[in-house]
Amino acid sequence: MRNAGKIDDLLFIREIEEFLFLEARLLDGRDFQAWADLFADDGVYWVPMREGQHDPLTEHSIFHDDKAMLDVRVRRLLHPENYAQIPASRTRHVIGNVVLDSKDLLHVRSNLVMFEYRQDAQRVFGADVQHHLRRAGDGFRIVLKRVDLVNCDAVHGYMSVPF
Amino acid sequence: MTDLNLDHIERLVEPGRVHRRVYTDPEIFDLEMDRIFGRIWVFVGHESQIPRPGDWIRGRMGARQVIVTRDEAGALNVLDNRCSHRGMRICLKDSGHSRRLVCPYHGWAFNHDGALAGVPAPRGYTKKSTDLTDPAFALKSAPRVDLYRGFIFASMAPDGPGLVEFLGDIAAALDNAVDRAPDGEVEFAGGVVRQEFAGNWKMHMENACDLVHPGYVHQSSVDAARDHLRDASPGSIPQQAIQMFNGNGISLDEWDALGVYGFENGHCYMDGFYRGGMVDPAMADPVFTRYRALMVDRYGEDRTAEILGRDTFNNLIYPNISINTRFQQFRVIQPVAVNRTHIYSYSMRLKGAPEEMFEMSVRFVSTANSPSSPVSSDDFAIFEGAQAALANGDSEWLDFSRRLGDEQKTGKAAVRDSGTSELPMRTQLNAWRNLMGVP
Ligand code: FES
Ligand SMILES: [Fe+2]
Repeated sequence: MRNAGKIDDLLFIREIEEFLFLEARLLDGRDFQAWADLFADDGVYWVPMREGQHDPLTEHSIFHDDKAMLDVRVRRLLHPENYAQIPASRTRHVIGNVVLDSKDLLHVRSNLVMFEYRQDAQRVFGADVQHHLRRAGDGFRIVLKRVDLVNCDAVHGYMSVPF
Repeated sequence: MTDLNLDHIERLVEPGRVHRRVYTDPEIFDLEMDRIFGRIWVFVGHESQIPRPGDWIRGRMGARQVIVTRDEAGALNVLDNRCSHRGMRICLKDSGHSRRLVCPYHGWAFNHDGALAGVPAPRGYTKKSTDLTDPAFALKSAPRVDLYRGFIFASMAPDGPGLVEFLGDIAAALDNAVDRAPDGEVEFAGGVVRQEFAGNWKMHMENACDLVHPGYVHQSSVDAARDHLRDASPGSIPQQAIQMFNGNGISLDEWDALGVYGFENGHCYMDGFYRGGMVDPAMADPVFTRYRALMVDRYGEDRTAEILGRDTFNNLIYPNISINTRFQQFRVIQPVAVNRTHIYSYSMRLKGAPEEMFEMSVRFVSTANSPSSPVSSDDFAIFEGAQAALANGDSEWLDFSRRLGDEQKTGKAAVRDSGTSELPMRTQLNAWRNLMGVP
């Protein structure tokens, strides 16, 4: 009996992991439109600039995109004259330490490492990532993706590919 | 190689062209730190960042790292962030509040005006050669610190033109930034956004009023915003940043309908961005309507129309400030090395305005002036490409001659030309030449 519940939990975590892996694969494959489509209409992609930041509206952020801005961002990322992406970045998102913060609310937490190679240089970003998900059909939609970079308040060069 | 040497630095800047060493030579960069950032008025912070006695922030005057303090008497001081004992950095964080500034290395303590206030275990120091009452043991302080409507400037030269004289007509941009607050005060809030690019600091200043470049460099964000707006549901008011991306998409003729201005001492701006170019539908936003009503309460209809109608964009205070009053944006271009520059971006909260005005400003910075900006990342990519290419000495000169000689005198100390003129860059480079030519 206890084992059956445990297996259900594992299957559920696995289902969520597969969603996160799909998201990573879309980003690494530069399928940015499909990535943005993972967000709910009221979805938000947020990369704070300060550790423990509470609010994207009263403090500056590195990314703070609603669905409209995600749409603009994706259209631009795919534009041939996007000079910040000539040459394009090659990225690899690696996801680990996936845990459910709340099974009922579909709050998921994970660690992220992103390698980005572009123009003879490689950058590595590490982050604590929170996904707030919503059931949609037999999959999920992202209501909030919050990416807390280890170096959120560093002096940054420009960034193109989302974390 | 060139026969131009640093004794004749003025030869590096001609009326319509500039030698590439101005952007690539580390010796010239060091001279800029002495002759420009080490002499003229340089912005070091805003009063709202250090409201109480004992408050301090770190700042920069070019490569010089300083502490800006408010002392017990309420006066502002700009001190070297370098201990007079053996050179340790005194303030290790970006801001703080303390009774004394205490060096972490051997515990020497300084007052907020820089005077040495206390030394632990003084006997060993004071026996023979070291006299701790010698003013040489005070932290080196900027001889002139002045305030213009809350903006703190410092100069390392003991004398020279005063701040108001130095600012001249560009002071109106600072006035407008503050006048837009119903309570007549702004504060720097929301934290600073710090970015870097691998290029010379002057490129950023020269680019800010370069109205030929948006149609080329920003085509991707123009197209993205335009296509987005075309497909968006009608009636929705897009956020300011998306409107601005779209606004960059006007034709060269339309850019030419705008004006660019050059002032004494190297200051510049462009005007007419809203009248002649992009529309500003955010004006129809209910938040803006509420804000405007508060302004009318305070200033009356005519004065409000005048304040909000001031349509100058990218107001550039030489050598390194860019202000956009319409979006409450303040940017500082910090030279780090000849080929490395930091950009600090701030939002100005308008006191007495609806809080949503500030939230719009923060959203604008996070979208348009942050590392993820679809606009400035293209600018930075261009600067980095130019810097890399200029390292090669095959072609010695950069051309800045577009519409050279077409400018018209307007006002006492200003010249104006059509938007796509390279007048703003020439204005800055003239100031550079005048300052750098003085040993
Ligand atoms: S270096 Fe500051 S006390 Fe010694
Ligand atoms: Fe630009």
